[in-house]
Amino acid sequence: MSLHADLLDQAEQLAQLDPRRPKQANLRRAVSSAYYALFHLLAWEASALYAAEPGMAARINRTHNHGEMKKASSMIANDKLPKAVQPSGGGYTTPLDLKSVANAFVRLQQARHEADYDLSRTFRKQEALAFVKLARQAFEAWGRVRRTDDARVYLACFHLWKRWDEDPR
Amino acid sequence: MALQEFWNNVRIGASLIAPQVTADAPRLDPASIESALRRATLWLTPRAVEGFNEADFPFLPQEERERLAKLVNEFSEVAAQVSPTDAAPREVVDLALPLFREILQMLEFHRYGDAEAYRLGKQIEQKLQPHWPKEIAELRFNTGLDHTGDPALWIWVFLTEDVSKDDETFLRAAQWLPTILDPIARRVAPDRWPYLSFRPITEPAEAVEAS
Repeated sequence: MSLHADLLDQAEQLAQLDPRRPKQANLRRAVSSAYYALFHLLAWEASALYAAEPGMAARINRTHNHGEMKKASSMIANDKLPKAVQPSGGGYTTPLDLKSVANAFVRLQQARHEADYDLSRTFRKQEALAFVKLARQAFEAWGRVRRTDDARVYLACFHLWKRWDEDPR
Repeated sequence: MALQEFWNNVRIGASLIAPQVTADAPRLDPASIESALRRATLWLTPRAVEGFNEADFPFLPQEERERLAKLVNEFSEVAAQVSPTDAAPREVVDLALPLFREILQMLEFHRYGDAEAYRLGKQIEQKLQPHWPKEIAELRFNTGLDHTGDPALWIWVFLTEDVSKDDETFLRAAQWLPTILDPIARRVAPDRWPYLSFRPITEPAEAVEAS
């Protein structure tokens, strides 16, 4: 099994632990693992755009930045491409499955931040399960869309959004 | 930002019963609001509703907006009778309390975390109203910056007890409800990212162990 698939299963197991009296620690780790499952899936796929050799792919993997991935995801989820790759005449509609992935990435990253750092709120078991389910749906949607140009451009945007969005000279 | 000013003043007046954390705030019934207001009458001053301007509430249905304006005006008149240095007479408290209580019930601090959340949340609920999904018991809203500093709108969707009885039904609802809520939120607040979370309506104490 891959790391991302293991993380997704782990997230589900943590959310299902203590069915009667769920511990906040387990629910919070479940939400966090759900995010990291999707993060590692997308980072692994993005690295594979550049390298097949595992060592090289792993080194590229480490260059991914959560903030830049969120920026690209929020734009793609809102039907926006960086200026340099926009179709002439403008107008781009993100395929639904890709939009689901990008949307889930942004939602899960914020949820993970709250789960890890915001102690003023509590998580409920079903709330945590819903975040795990969101990650699982994103995995499924990614499976359907991953071989398309839109998906590859999305992955490339993790590194290139800023450069591609600069005003063309 | 008169709406913000009015919101803050009422909230200060109601500080004993205005929750700090929207998602986990207990629902308040009229009796518990009245009981809290009777314990201390710091709210009985015209300052508690200062900043109100009916024109700041174009997002409310006309009837609701006019009702709020009437309550605020009547409350201001009654509160103006109270000397700032003496204890409020019982009969003035009895006159003012139902007015202030109803203002609090209309602003629903337990459901709207701030003035902007109130403005946006009300509009989202109105757009949802004609086709209100039976799975939704209640919505709660908050605004602010997310962890990367981008403007955000948090929407907590509380699902009914029926839907929350088993995980499968709950998750099915949590899967399809964003398809209607997300586009409405983006239309009403295009500059904010809508963060949706789904929770059962049952009280936290029943299901959560503090740990």
